[in-house]
Formats: sequence, C-alpha cells, structure tokens
Amino acid sequence: MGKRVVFEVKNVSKSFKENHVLRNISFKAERGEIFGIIGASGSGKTTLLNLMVGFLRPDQGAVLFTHLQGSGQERVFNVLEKPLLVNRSYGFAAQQPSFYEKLTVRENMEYFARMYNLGGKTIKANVETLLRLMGLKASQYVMAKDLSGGMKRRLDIACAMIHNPSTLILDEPTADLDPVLRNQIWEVVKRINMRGTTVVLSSHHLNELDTLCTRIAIIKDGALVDVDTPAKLKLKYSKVQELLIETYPGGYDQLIPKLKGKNITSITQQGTYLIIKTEEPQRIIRELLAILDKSGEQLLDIRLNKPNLDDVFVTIYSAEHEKEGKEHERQEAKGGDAS
Amino acid sequence: MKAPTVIAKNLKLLFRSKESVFTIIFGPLIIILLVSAAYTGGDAKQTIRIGTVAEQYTPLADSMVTSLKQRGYLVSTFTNESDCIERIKTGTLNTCILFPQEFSVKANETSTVIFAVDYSRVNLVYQIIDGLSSEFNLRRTAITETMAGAMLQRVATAQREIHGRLEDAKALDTDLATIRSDLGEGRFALEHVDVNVSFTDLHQIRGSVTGLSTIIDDLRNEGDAAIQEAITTLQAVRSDASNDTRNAVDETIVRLENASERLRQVAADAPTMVQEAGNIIDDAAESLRKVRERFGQLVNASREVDNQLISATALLDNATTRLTLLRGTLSHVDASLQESLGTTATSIASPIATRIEPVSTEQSKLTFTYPYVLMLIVMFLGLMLSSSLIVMDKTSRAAFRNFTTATRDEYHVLLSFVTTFLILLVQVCIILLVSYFFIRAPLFSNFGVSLIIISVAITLFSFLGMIIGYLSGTQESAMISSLSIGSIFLFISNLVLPLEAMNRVVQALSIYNPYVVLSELLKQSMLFQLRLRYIPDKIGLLVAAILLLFLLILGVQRSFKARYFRQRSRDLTAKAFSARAVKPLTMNGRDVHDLFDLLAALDAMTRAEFEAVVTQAENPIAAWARGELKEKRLARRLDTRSKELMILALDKHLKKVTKRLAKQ
Repeated sequence: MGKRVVFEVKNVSKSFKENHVLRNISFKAERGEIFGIIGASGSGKTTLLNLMVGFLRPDQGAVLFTHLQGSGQERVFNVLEKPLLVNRSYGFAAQQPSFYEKLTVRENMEYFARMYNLGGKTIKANVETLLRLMGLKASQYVMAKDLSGGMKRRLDIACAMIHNPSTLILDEPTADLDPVLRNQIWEVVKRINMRGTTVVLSSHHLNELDTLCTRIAIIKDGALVDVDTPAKLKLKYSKVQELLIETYPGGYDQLIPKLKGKNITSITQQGTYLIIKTEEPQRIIRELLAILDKSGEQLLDIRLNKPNLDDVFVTIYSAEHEKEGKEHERQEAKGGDAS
Repeated sequence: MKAPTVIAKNLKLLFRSKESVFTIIFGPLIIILLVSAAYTGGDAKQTIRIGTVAEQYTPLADSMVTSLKQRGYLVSTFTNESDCIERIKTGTLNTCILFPQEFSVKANETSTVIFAVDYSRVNLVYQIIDGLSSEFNLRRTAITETMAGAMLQRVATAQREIHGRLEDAKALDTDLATIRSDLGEGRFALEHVDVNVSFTDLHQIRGSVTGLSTIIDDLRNEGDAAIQEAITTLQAVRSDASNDTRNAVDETIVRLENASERLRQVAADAPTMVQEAGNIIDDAAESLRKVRERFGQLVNASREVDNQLISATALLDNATTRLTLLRGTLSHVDASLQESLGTTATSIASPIATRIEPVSTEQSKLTFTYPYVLMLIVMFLGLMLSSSLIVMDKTSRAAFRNFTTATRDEYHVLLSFVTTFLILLVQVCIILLVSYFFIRAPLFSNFGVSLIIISVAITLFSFLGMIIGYLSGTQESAMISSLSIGSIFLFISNLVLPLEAMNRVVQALSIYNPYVVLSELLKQSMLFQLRLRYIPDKIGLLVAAILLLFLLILGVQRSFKARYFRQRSRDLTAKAFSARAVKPLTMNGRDVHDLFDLLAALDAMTRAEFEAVVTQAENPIAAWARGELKEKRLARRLDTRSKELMILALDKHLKKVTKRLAKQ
C-alpha cells in the first residue's frame, strides 16, 4: 500500500509578463516525508512554494491538496478553491522570518494561534509544546527583535506550526545563518517531521539537505529537472569526488600547472586548501604525492569528499552551461557570417 | 474571540514604538495645549513692533505714541520715513505710522495718518491694521468727542437763553391776551354806551315860565275876586249869624283877607321870580347846549376810540399770531437743542455704533475655534494613526504570516480600523476632558450629537488614512502623504483663510472637503445645539463616503496583497540576473551566483576575509560584476576596498532593481 499524497503539483506554469518562471512542473509529495526543492537563485523555487499554498495563481495547471476531513475521509481540493482551508492545513515559513518584532516570543505565538481560530486551551498547549520543541522556552518573554538569528528562525517556524498543520513549507529556512544555527534549524525540522508533519523545504545548502530530505526536486530555470531521493540523484548526476589538500609552504601556484591534464574536473584554492575535483581520486592522490615529493612541499592534511548534492547541482548546471556556451558561439558565428 | 487579541496586539505594537506613543498619547495633548495656549493667553500687542515717523512730534503725535506704548505696543520713534520702512523690510518692525507735518487737530482740515505695513505677512498685516486702526479710532473718537462736547456746551447755553426767552414770550403772550381781552371789554363797553340822549327844549320851558306870570296874574285876579266875593258873602252871612258864627266868619274873613294879601304879594313877586327862573332856564339852556356840544364831541371821540381799538385788536391779533409762531419756533429750537443736549459727545463722535450680537451665548475666541481645532486633531490623528498602523502592519515581518493564517483579510482591515477608532475615541475623550477642565470649553451641551459627528469623523479620516497606509511604502511616506492630504483639507477650509475670500473653484471644492463639512457640523452641534434630523442629507453623504472608502480599502488591500507576493518572489528578481548563464564567483570558499548571494556573502565576511579577496591589485567582485553580470555601472561602484561601501552600493542597486521589477 503506497503512501498517501499530501499535495500534487500538476503541470504548473507561471510567468510574470514575459518572464517564464515555471514551466510545466509536476510532482507529488507524500505524507510524512521531508521534500526538498533545490535550484539556483531565480530557478523558481519560491514561486513554486507560493503557488503550492495558493498565494499565487498558476497560469496553467493546478496545485491539489488532500484534506483529511473530520469523518476520516480524504478530499482533494485545488488550493485556490479553499484558501482558508489551505491556510489551516499548511504552515509556511518564508525566507524572511515573519512575526512581530515588538511582541515577545509567547505573544507572537499566542497571537498567530488566535488567528488560526484556536481555543484558549489549545493555544496554551500548542505554545508550550512548540516552545519546548523549538528550544524557545527560556526566551518566551523576550522581545522577538532581541532574539538571535537562529532563534528568530525557530520562532518563525514555531509560528508556522502553531496550528498543527499537516504540512510545513519552509522557504530557505537556513538562509543567512551560520553553520551552527543551520544545524539547529535542521534538528528542529527533523523533530517536526518525526511528529508526523510533512515538510517541504527549499535551500541553497544542498549538502545539508542530503541527509535531511527523503526526496528532492531539482529545478532549473523554471523547469523540473528531476525528483528523487538524494542517493539516486547523486548516482545519476555526479561521479566527481572532491580532494582537499593542505601543504607547506603552500606553493599552489607551482603545483596547479603540474596537475593539469590529469582528468581533473576543477582545481581551486580555498584558504590554505587546494580543492581538486575528479572522477579518479585514487590515481590523482598517487600522482599528487609524487609531485609534492618532487617539489618539496610537505603534506599537512588530505581529505576525500564523496559526491554530494552540490556536485549534482554543479553537474546539472555545468552541462547546461556548456550547452549554452556552444549555442552562444554558434549564434555569434552566424552573426559574424551575416555581417 | 480574535478581535480583542488583534486589538491588544495593535495596541502593544503602537505602545512599544516610541514614535507612535508620541503620536498617540503626547501628540494630541501637546497639540490641544498648544492650541489652547495660542488662543487664550496670547496678546498680539506685546509682539507687534511699531515705528512712528514724524519730522516734529507735536503734542498730538506724542500723545498718540504714549497711548500706543501704554496699550502695550513696542514703539520706536523715527524722524525719517525711509529708516522706518527699511526696518519693516528687514523684519525689525511690523508697521510704520507716518504722522503728517504739524500733526494736530485743526478746524476745517483733516490730518491723514498713514500706516505702512508689509503685506507679504498676510496673517499679521490684518491683525496690525485691525489693532492699530482700533487704537487710532479710539484716539480720533476721543478728539471728536472733546470737540463735540464743547459744541454741546455752547448749544446748552443757547438752549438756556432760548428757554428764558420762551418764558418771556409766554408772558408776553399772556399780556397780549389780557390786553386783547381788555380791549374787547372796552369796545364792548363803548359799544354799549347810549349816545342817543334827548335834551329838553328849555326854550319852551322859558316860554312856559314867561307865560307863568300871566297865569299867576290871572290866578291872583281870580283868587282876589274869589276872595272878595267870599268876604262879601261872608259879611252878608255875618249879619245874620250868631256871635259864634260871626266870630268864626270874622276870623275866616281875616284869613281870607290875609290870603288875598299874600296872593297879591305872590303875584307881585311872581314876575321877578319868573324872570329869575327864566334866567336860570336860559343859563341851563346854555349849559345844556354846551353839554350837548361836548357830548357830541364825546361820541365822536368814542367812535374814534372804537376804531382805534379795532385796529389795535387787529394788530394785537397779528402780534399774537407772530408771537405764537415765534414761540413755536423757539419751542422747536428748544426741543431740538434739548434733543441735541440729550445726545452725548460720544454719540456725535460715533453716530453709528456697531455691535456684534453673538448667535450663541459663548464668547471666548477659543470656543468658536474649538470645534475646528478638535476636528483638525481628529483629522490629522485619524489620517496619521491609521496610515501608520497599516504601514506598521504591512511592512512588519509579520505581514506575510497574517496573510497565511485562517483569518480573512477583511477581518484584519476591520480590526485595524477598530483599533484606530478606539484609540482615537480615547484620545478625543482625553482631549475633551482636558479642554473641559482647563479651558472650560462648552462640550457637553449637545454631547450626543457631537459624539456621533466625532465618531463619523474618526471613521472617515481613519479610512482615508488606511488607504494612504496601503498605498504608501514606508512610515515616512505615509506620514508625508497624511500630512499633505490633511494640509489640503486644512487649506481648503475656514481655519486658515475665510473660504469666502478664496477662488470660486476652491469654494466649490470645499463642499466636498470632509474636514469642512465635519468641522461645521461639530461647530453647529457644540455652539448651536444642532439636531441630526435637520441634516439627513449631510449625514447620508458622509455615510455613503464612508462605505465607498471601505470598499476602496478592500480593493487597495487586495491589490497590495497581490503586489506583496510578487515583490516577495525573490526568484523573480533573481531571475532577471540569472537569465543568462552566469559563472559563479568563488569567494572565501563560497559560490556566489547572483547579487543577493554576493550581498549575503559580503555580509558574512570578516574584514580580514574581505581584504584577502579584494586586494590593492585586484577586485574580483567588481570584475565579476563587469564581466559576468555585465553591470558596468554597478562594477564601477563596487570598485572599492571598503566592504561597507560595497555593501551599500550593492544594497542600493538591488533595491532599485527590485522596485523596477515590482512595477512590472
């Protein structure tokens, strides 16, 4: 017996004037999963999330959501037909935290709970539960503007969760947060998901989605490239592994030319490290050690990173870049001939 | 119950913001106190600076200067007109009073005092003209009164003289009447004197007397004869008669003989006596003739007198008539003079006194302007507070979440209004109480109607403010818009300049000015106890306007919501930047795909990290913007070694682009 579908995006397209933001997107999210949406900036992630909750109207297609009625019977609605029901069923946390900065944590939660027509006892119970769940209990009487970035984000998620929605949608929940705070947020997301809430999220931090999401949709320039589990995506789109080395005295300028032409996808210097991306890491390590030995560089550190979602992402976008570059060259050539 | 929660939230937000607390609580109180102070304690005289110009200060000029000083004006004296005028131009003086040469009160000559004022200060100039004209009118009236007083004194003297002469004329009239009466009586007496006297003809009597001697002779002859005969008889009888009888006869004969003797004697005396009688009669006749002659003269004189009496009476009548006329004239003059004396010098100096009869019993200047001021506060507070609340709500981070809750947008709109309404109502109550206790404004005489009008005003201006709020992007623009709209309403009203003095088009427009309509209604309610049943048309129009505004708010709010989600769609903005394939900029171990990423990366970088990327030799960020993004202008701005300047330039550029895209 398959999992129940929470919502379905069906052939959705959206344009703003001549700017085609989304083109014929279709996928389904299932109850209880953490569904990730990744894509470059401008690929249409936020527009897609806004369409999913009915904030925007698609030019084509529809977003359907399944509502479990009191009788236990499930009914499927178009999100545009029942905006209030959608609002009750979904919790939405946008890129920018959304709450009143001049209200305390508790006041914000109580206010939004009331806006979801919850009763006094339910509000109290939900607020207490979420304060504990989000780690905000100690800060419940602190003015929201005085919270740290991570706490603000947690408060925002708490406000989105205050009415116990069946689905929580998070748009870039870790944007502009440092790694420690990002981890805190992902922990919260996991805890929420463990309570049975379906989570749909978008993020730039692809590697962090890797371990978090059950499935990921990749969007590029408004089109859905693929939807699958992280493992399958990595398998499909990236064989490149990342080799990080740190040497002393760190003469990378002399080192880089010697590594060229050795089946290396890219080589960049990041801080004191040299990052080498390659499909043959074992061979490159052997050759690298030989070069270091000859050039008198002392190896301080060496690490090997397996392919991740970043690599998948780069692969997808690089392929497209190459295609576009070739197309551009062809166009220029045509233009030159014509002139 | 959502409403109390939302209202409580709105109140918390407002009260936790210093700016709005000032606007909500202190602002109105300060405004009303300032207004009260401005209208109650001020004395314009203390601040009006006057220059007086005269080549030579005559006593009259001096007295006027002194009078102005005594009345509290700040007076400077000049002998040169241009000096004074120059001071007006520089703002040191408000007006110059130019006295004429040899300024004094002269007969048959009018002295003109000139006021030089700066008409560019329109609000002050009328106050100066009004104030100083009043002062000079007082002075002029005092002089005129003195002159009129002296004139009245002379009139009084003349009147007393005339009054005395009138008494004489009255006595004369009485005398004339007496004379006329006496003359009448005289004439009457004369008329009744019988001048037809018949005088006896003494000549006949003379003749008779003359004849009397003959008669007497006859009578003596006859008597003598009779007596002789008797004696003869008696002597005949005697002889035959006794002694006694003889004796008796003898005695009778003796007596007869005596009588005969006497008769003879009388007869003998008679002619003399007759002669004497005749003489007497002649004398009498002569006297009688003379009497007759004199009587004739008397009658003639009497006739003459009568004629003269007639003409005298006529003259007297004539004189009486003239005297009557004279008396009448004198009486009229007297009455006129009396009437003149009954008037005062003041009434002569100011024959037409004007008095303003208030249609209400209230007399304080503040009382008249209070409804306008109160409505002004309601208007500005309504506009500013509601627009502020809306902008605060819509620009707050929570705006998005409010859209995502299970509460209808209309409910939020309505509760924003309810919050504004309640705050304003409380404020108005505070203002009313402050006004009532401190400046004794008449507020509670028609309180019910006033409260309804104030409520309508709050609703209408709050709705207008809400529309402004939805159309404004920031608090500042909302405030400026609210102030601008409030100022337009204010200027097209009676509070600054009388509407009647304005252009006809503006006057026509003013009937649609809610401030004018509502402040007039409030004034009528507070001062004239207006009843709502008299103004159903105006109330209907206001209610219609309120409904229209509410529908507009809903429309504007929906439009804002749609725009809001478009604006939030960062993907859309980023799309514009990533329409072409852009090679990411790797910076400090982070891939930057677009300008938003760049901004976030710059923000996260320490100064040392930044300096490691942007060196003196190269600026990869500016190069990336130029080469990859093709943003040459932005690249020039990013060509700096200051992280802060770079962030500022980037932020400015992104805001500009976001705004441009939102408009699309």
